[in-house]
Amino acid sequence: MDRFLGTALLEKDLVFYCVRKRYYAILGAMLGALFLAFVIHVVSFGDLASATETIRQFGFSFFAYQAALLFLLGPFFSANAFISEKERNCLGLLYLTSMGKVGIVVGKFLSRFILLELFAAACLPMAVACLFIGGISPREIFILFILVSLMNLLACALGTLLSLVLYRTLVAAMVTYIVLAFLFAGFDLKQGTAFWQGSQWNLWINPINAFNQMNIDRTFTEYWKPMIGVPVASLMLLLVSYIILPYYFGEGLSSVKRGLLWLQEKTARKYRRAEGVWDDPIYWKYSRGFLGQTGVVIFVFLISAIVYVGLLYLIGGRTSLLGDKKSFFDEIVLLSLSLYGVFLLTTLLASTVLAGEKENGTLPLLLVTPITGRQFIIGKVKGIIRTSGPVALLPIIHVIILAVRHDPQFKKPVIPFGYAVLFILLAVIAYFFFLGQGLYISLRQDSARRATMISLVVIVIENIFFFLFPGLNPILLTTGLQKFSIHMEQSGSNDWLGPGSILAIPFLCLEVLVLCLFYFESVKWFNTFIDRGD
Amino acid sequence: MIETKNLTKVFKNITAVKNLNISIDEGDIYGFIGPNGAGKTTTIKMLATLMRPTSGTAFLGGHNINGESRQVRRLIGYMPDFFGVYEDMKVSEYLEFFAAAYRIRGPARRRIVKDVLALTDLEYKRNELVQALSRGMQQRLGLARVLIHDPKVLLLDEPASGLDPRARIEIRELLKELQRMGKTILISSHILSELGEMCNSIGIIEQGKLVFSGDLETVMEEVRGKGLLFIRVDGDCTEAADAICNHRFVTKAEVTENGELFVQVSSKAPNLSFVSEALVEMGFPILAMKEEEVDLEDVFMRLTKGVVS
Repeated sequence: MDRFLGTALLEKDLVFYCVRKRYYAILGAMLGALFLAFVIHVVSFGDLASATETIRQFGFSFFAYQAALLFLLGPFFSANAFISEKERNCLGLLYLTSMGKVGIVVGKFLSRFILLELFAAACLPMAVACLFIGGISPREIFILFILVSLMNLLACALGTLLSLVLYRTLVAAMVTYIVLAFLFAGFDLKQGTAFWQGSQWNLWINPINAFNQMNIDRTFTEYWKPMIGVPVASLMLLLVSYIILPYYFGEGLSSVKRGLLWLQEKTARKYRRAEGVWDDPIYWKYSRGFLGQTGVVIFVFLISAIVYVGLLYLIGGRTSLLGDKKSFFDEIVLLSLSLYGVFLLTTLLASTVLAGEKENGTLPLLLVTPITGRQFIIGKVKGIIRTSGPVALLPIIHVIILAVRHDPQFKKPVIPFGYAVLFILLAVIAYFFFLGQGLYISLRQDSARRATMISLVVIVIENIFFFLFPGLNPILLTTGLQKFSIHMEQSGSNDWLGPGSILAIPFLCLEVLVLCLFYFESVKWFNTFIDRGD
Repeated sequence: MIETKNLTKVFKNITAVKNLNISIDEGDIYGFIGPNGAGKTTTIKMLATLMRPTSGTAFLGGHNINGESRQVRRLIGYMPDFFGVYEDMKVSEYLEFFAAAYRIRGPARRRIVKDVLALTDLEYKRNELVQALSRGMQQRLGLARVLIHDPKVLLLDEPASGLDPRARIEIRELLKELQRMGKTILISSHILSELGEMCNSIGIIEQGKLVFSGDLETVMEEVRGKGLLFIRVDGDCTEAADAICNHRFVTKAEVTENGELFVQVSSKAPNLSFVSEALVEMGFPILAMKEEEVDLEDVFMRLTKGVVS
């Protein structure tokens, strides 16, 4: 049994997690977010009669929030399962032990899954508290917990497999996020004229869709059965990991790496030809690196998105993004979510910039060159913009199309152009804020993995504000944007500076100020090594 | 070319380097030796302007590390004990990147990259990915990077660690070549036999304090004296040792575990022949006598105590 479960590996990884303070910080952030959500829901009861429905609504939302937070953390934990061993050259040593292939795969997977389950279990007391008020039954809470666990199962199995195939934690995590995002994006498959419209087929095709619909309708009736597909899919992913594990030591997976390098080489050729790029070597290096795995991932993502949407149209389905227009609010929620993805990517990329150099031992080599802090930071920032910029363009193009076509159904007339300008302005500020935040985290950390993990924790904390204080949110301007947009929808463009929105202005200024602080602090940090009081 | 004045670095409660005073002339290869944790890397980092001294200062080519770090950086080529490489770059790209970082532009950059690749014998690897290079090759690439802006001073922290004998010999030859080109080299290493072959001066550091700094010959003589002799006598060795140790040119005489008489001759002695004459006169005929060779390892072992800070 020990051999089958990879007990030694499981214990090693779990002990590693349990002694690290940062995991408690993550747990604390999650609990904090959910506790605040709970308190706000409870204190907002008008009377006890309405409390039952509110609690029921909260009970379901609670698990949806929890699933969202765990979906944010799960890929990142699992994406380093094998990569961490590869980086330390320990995978071969594990392979030679009596643990065997099953033990290695199961041990790695289980350690991540158990960690996420511990996180999920730690949040249970708050969910159980709902029972005392009523509106939700113990059976429903139990089923919701099981369903959240199923989502964890999928995130961990997918991350484990990708961790085996890919060579960088960040890239493996990003691919996992992208795949899961695609699964989530399927929640509007009901629309259109496809044969599955309104049928169980829709749910069976994408079980995550069922989880979503269940939260929207707050009932399990037709949704829980399709979720059986999740553990089946997870088992298949683990089986694939088991099958391909030996190929890591042979030519199989090396050819994946060679393929990525070949693609990188092809795309990087023009950089060597162009003389001007050498004027900014830091930017050149970042762009060169980007054209590796990260670039391939983003390229694959864009191509997959186009193919996915195209296929949906061919068979009569629709995604919400390009589907039939419903309300302005729906559009804005989608825009915010897609922007949020961009911000997540930007923060994660930025968080590895300096920490990666430190971890690789290349920072001292750069510090003794004449490159200044400003050149270094600007070069890196330009590289990040080049990386995440194309993805960021998607929501911006979307909002421009919205504004030009004037499709959104406002309750009162607004000036679409003004709205688009406002949206883009706020989005750009938010984008740079996230970039600065990632850079700042990066300069304070010595390991890229730790930096990205802290970025995730910060994003989780920011999520607290996302859910609790929309409109007054100092950091997540996507919610600020929603607030602006809702206000515009309700009151028209001439009155958009309502009491809620006007408070966002000082926050906006604060955000710009913090962004400047991040920049100057990063430059100063670099220069303290270089100038040292010259 | 390099001069430190009471260079000191304190980390919280630990004094990593204490009042270090060394002086290295232009064109020297200076071997910086010490046990692990003695303060070698800290010293090199301070000289490379990557670490601020707690007190004291150092001058490289007349520039103070405390106020003229930009000028110092132009002057030095720094190779840390552990240095990273951008593995997804090609060898030539790696060097071109650092050349660009040193603001070397246009055709000059390509020419210099070609030159340093030739010097480090990596021309045939120019289109290889850095990650495909062996450890020895990567060390050579590190040296090529160090040379890219033609620095006058090279600060090399353990450049030969982890290399196989052939790669070590290649690195050693390369450093000798660089010395011929007029570079001043400060090199720390644990492979003392090789340092002994290429260095003309050394510094020995222990617990952050300088135990010795100067010409290699001087320290050899200090340890060896005029000579170290192992003698087998016909008679009681202990009595022979007691008798000869009173001689004015003998600094030390004792019996070894093998029952041989060990004699250290003072550097003031005109030659070694008096030892045999004196022993015979004292009634201890000599059966065999041999002179011990002293190398840098002996010097190191005799001058250090094996403690770290």
